[in-house]
Amino acid sequence: MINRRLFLQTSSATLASIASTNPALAKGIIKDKDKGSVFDLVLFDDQHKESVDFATDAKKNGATIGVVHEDLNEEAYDLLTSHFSSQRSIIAGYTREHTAGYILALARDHAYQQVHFSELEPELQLLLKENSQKKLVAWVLAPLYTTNNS
Amino acid sequence: MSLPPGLSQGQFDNALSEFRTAVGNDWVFTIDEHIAMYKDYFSPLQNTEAQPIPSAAVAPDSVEELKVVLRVANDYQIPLWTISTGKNYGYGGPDSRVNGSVIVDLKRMNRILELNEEHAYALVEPGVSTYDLWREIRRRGYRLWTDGPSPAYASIIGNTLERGAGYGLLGERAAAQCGMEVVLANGDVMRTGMGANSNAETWQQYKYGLGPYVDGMFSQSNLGIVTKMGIWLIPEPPAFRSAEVYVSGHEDIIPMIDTLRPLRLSNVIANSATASTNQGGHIEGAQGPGGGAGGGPNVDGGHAPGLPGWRARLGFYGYDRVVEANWEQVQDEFASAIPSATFHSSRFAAPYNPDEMLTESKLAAGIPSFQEAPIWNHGGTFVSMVMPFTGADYWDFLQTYDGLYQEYGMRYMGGPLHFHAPRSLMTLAGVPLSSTDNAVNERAMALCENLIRVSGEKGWSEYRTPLVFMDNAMESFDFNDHALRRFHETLKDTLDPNGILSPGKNGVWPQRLREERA
Ligand SMILES: Cc1cc2nc3c(=O)[nH]c(=O)nc-3n(C[C@H](O)[C@H](O)[C@H](O)COP(=O)(O)OP(=O)(O)OC[C@H]3O[C@@H](n4cnc5c(N)ncnc54)[C@H](O)[C@@H]3O)c2cc1C
Repeated sequence: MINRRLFLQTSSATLASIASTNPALAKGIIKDKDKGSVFDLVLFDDQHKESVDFATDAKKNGATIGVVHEDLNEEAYDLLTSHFSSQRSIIAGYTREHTAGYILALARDHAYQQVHFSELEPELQLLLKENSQKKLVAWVLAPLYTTNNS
Repeated sequence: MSLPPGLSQGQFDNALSEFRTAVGNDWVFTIDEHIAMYKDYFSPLQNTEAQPIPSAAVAPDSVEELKVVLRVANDYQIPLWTISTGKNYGYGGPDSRVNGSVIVDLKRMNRILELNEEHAYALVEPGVSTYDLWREIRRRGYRLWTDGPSPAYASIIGNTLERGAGYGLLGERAAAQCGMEVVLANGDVMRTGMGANSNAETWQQYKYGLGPYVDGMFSQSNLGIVTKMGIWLIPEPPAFRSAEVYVSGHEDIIPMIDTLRPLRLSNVIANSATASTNQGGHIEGAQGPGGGAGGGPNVDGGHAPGLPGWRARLGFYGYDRVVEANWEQVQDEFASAIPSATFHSSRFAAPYNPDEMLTESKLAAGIPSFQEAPIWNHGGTFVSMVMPFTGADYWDFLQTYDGLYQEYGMRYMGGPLHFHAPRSLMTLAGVPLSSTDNAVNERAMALCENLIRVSGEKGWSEYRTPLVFMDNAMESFDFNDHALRRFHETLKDTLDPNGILSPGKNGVWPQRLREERA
């Protein structure tokens, strides 16, 4: 399991490492990636420098980026839903834990699942955690079918 | 992997391959990692053998695909459990009652089929969330308001079928429903109300059509799968005031409720008002031996040290002068009943900017938000009781519940009160669960079962209940030796003879699985 620092490097090694625990993911989507960033969409919190740096780097490498705070805003929602509906995008975030909680809950509605989380927690425990409003976490979502090996 | 009851692995594999033919390979989920997504994280049965585990999940994209799923389930007698977005957290999440059920996940049917500004309604599929609908209204620039429960990811259809509670002008969600399309267990597709006239343009405008009104039969039910629903919206009011009334004494809840009742009945307070203690425990209402959140002291200037005061949340809507006049009058009414009452409010006017509103105001304006978790912290299980809308009844409830909680080493100080159905009071009582200590969860279950039993004797019953308490909760509807349940089961056996649809939902079991009743 990669740690948060490694994750934040946004290198293709990061996703390769995530993919190593999800062989179907590697076979399905990652091999098609030819651009710099392995993430198609990156959501970040502009009130946290670490998160801004992560997004800036991702943007330089070709990812679309969007700001998200505690509550979901319309722009971030639109970005998320359009990427979800593509069923192709790899979506990453470096957000508050509370925010990650509801984005992961939304992901299931669009047949997406969490393939990486800097601390592995089910979506609901995130929502219920005290201080989840403040702490930052890193996460990656990929379409469910990439791991549906049936 | 669990199997549906009575099926061999080979038979189930055959069924799965028929499901795959129906909906496509990518939309039948069987691996453990995916099945885990359909687990109920709030279940008191977590970490025990008794927690039902689905055998698979199937996600059809259309009524035609759904009909094939039903045909296969009938052929193999597989119990299904339908979810729209499966966020029924606290009441069972996406989980089922029978081990080995196949979850029918309708998330892919997520189209807003019609959005009508002139007549203020929408026609939606099950996967459409409150946020999706609100966003589409904003995108089109329509001057319409919606309403819904506090979590924005709630399905319009799932929450309305559960008869959920909102906070704005259409908070009694079941009352805002108008017309539905239902696929019955045998695959027949039926439209209710005016929708039964294939030429009618009033499907979402007049609820009843002709003859028996059947829509309610499909709410909190296992008689059919709802694939389309009409939902009423409301024209955006020119002005809105989001208001709070605070009282510091614990017993002040009695005059607070009695002051609220006539104002709510006469529609001066037109929104789904709520009240709650002004201090939350880990779980609303459930507190450790010391009385306060986490067991610490809980003193908030109340008359009785250690007992919390209360706040009511109200909304006023319409023309500016009417809004202001109503709010002034309401403050007078509360001040004369409870001289120490204090007030707080914020005024907003069209065009509304959600970014200027705090969560409380957003909820009262039907603006979906994802911020609710710290306000409604449901880290446990709970019961939700309906009782008369009087201070005396609620006080009796508080005393009764506190007594029962004390038998289990806890205190009950009062949970959130909902006045969404304007002639009754619904309130929640939560009990903490543990993700590591099963003894805590066993104790929570025992307490809740006791609460439900004693409540039944007092004439209070649940408005909606978690999966594990469905049989207990239905038991309290006991008139004439449970004539209502016998009626439900007669319908169930007639409409769904193989008992494939959500067996055990709200204590209604099909004949072939009736011995499963707790
Ligand atoms: C922090 C928190 C706050 C909450 N606040 C509120 C609140 O303010 N108000 C409120 O009402 N609830 C509240 N809830 C409870 C719950 O989250 C919501 O009610 C939510 O809307 C239910 O989930 P859903 O909409 O995804 O419905 P689903 O889970 O999809 O459906 C609920 C149930 O309805 C039935 N059903 C669903 N779809 C169909 C269908 N198409 N045909 C037939 N039957 C179907 C099934 O039995 C299903 O289990 C809260 C929960 C939490 C954790």
